Amino acid sequence: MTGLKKLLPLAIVAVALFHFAALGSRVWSLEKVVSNGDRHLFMAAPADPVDYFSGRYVAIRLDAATIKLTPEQRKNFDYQGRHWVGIERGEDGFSRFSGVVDENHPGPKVRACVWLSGEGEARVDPPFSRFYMNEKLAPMAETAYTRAANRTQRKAWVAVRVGDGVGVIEELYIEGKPVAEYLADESRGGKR
Amino acid sequence: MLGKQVFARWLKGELPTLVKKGVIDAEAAGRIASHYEAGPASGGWMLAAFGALGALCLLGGVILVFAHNWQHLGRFTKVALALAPLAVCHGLALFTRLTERSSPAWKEGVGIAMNLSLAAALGIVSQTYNLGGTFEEFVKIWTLLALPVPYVTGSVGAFILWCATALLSFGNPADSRDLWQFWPLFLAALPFPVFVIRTESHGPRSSIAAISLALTTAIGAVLSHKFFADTNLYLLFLLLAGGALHILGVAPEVGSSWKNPFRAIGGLGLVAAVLFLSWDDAWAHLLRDGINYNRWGLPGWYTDYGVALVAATALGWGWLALGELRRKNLSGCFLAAAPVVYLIAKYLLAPQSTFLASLLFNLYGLALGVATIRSAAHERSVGRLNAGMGLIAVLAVMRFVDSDLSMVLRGVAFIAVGLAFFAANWMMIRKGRAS
Repeated sequence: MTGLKKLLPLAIVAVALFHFAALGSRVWSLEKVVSNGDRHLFMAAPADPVDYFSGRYVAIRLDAATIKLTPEQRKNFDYQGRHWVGIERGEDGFSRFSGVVDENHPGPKVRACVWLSGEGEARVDPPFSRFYMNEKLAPMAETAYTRAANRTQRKAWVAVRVGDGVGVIEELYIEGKPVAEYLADESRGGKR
Repeated sequence: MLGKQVFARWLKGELPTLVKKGVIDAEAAGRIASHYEAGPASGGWMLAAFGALGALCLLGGVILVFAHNWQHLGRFTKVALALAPLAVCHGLALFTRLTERSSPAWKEGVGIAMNLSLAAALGIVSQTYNLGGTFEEFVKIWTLLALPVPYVTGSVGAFILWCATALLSFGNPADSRDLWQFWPLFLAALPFPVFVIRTESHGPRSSIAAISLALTTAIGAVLSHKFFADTNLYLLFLLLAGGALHILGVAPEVGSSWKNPFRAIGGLGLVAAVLFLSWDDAWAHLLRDGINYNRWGLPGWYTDYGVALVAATALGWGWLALGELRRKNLSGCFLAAAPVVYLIAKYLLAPQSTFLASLLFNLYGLALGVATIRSAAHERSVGRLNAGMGLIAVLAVMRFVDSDLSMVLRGVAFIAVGLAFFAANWMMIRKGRAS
């Protein structure tokens, strides 16, 4: 037991290194994506009235989250796991999910949950669906987002940095402005 | 705690008078004074609880102060602030070990704060980078990172928190294919509570560690149903796990303060299983072999994992039961022998008639009740007497509502129960007269 007691300080240092290595490597990989990842714009869809926002984040729904599955993919579909989903940039400058791809797909891709929806179709649950904000601004952002993302307006989108299979939301835009700037203009009696 | 300090001060003040009057010699007075010199260092649960509460308030306060200007801070600053409480907790853990501060207040305060700092760091990193993900994924990562915290801090509170997150992750997993991780993680966490129970066998920390361990084992066993394609095997696993827990609780070499959670939780589970198996419908359902309950789309090897679980639990149960048999502690093994009764009923009686299998468990339940009442009478334990009579009463009520039994058989069951009650009363009266 005495020997064990002597090892305890070393064990504490080892556990501290383990914790900081785990968290630090996660932060490092995310920073790489934010700094060097491809920038994609995704058009936002109207917010789910049931899941407006939770706590201090705005729940983002993406417009082009439906993909097509080949008969082969549908037949061997893995209901439990995450899938590699490819991303392609459209002519309008906005990106959308192209479909389920394999791990060696050369283009931009992310790991995401995919749910079978209609005949030959599936819905992607993207890993970037929350935009965290100051809790005082979040309710106003929610209202502005809902108004801008409706089917006739289509004036809300998110900028996402994609790299190493990870997507990180960089900014939420409403009518072409970062959401904080938009809300600041609104509060100053800016353009509605 | 305060009373002990006051008493210690008073006693030390009395020592010179006692020496002068020749009640004790100077050497004894010196030993008594040294013994109480430690003062309040051992601390009590109040100190531990307030230590933990203080750590949480301090942590929360620091986070709230920075939260006020959160949106103006850069990513690196946010991450640094997220990791700072964790760094402080590690520093404190090292400080307490190097300075050999062993009071519960330090251990529990640092341990709980470290566990919660991990959760806070994970949450703040998710917020800083606008990460999605589910609550289940968050709990899974938190559970993995928090596993070593009880070991390095010596905190039972941190162990309880870990058990809660591990069970949450097991019961509601982010990915069902990670379910297999629960038992290996549980085994990795097991040495800590065992160490606390063995080294602090008469303290409150060991009791709480024992309760947490027993509850986690029991809940984990119940949640393991996804590993079993066959209900029979799952039932056998539950009976073996309950039996092993119960035997652990009655083993005489175990300290008196911690054995009860194992005995109580194991016993409760076994009694529930015995009552379930006394039902004829249960046997008619169990006999339907080949039903695949693995409807969660799990890999095929999960059923092999289930078989391995049964084998490992059977080994543990067998080893413990053998120990009790060697000590001739038959009454302690009686309830824990439920797996053997089940196997006899399942493979010898049920193929002939499901009624015979359920009858065996009815008789077993009745015998258990009578044995409990008998030992209660011997130990003059009112609680155990009530437990025994309660078991028999529940059996009787269940037989009444069991629509498959004829009126005659119900009548026979009630007569048997009535005779058992008379017998119990007669024994207690005889005992009372004899004493």
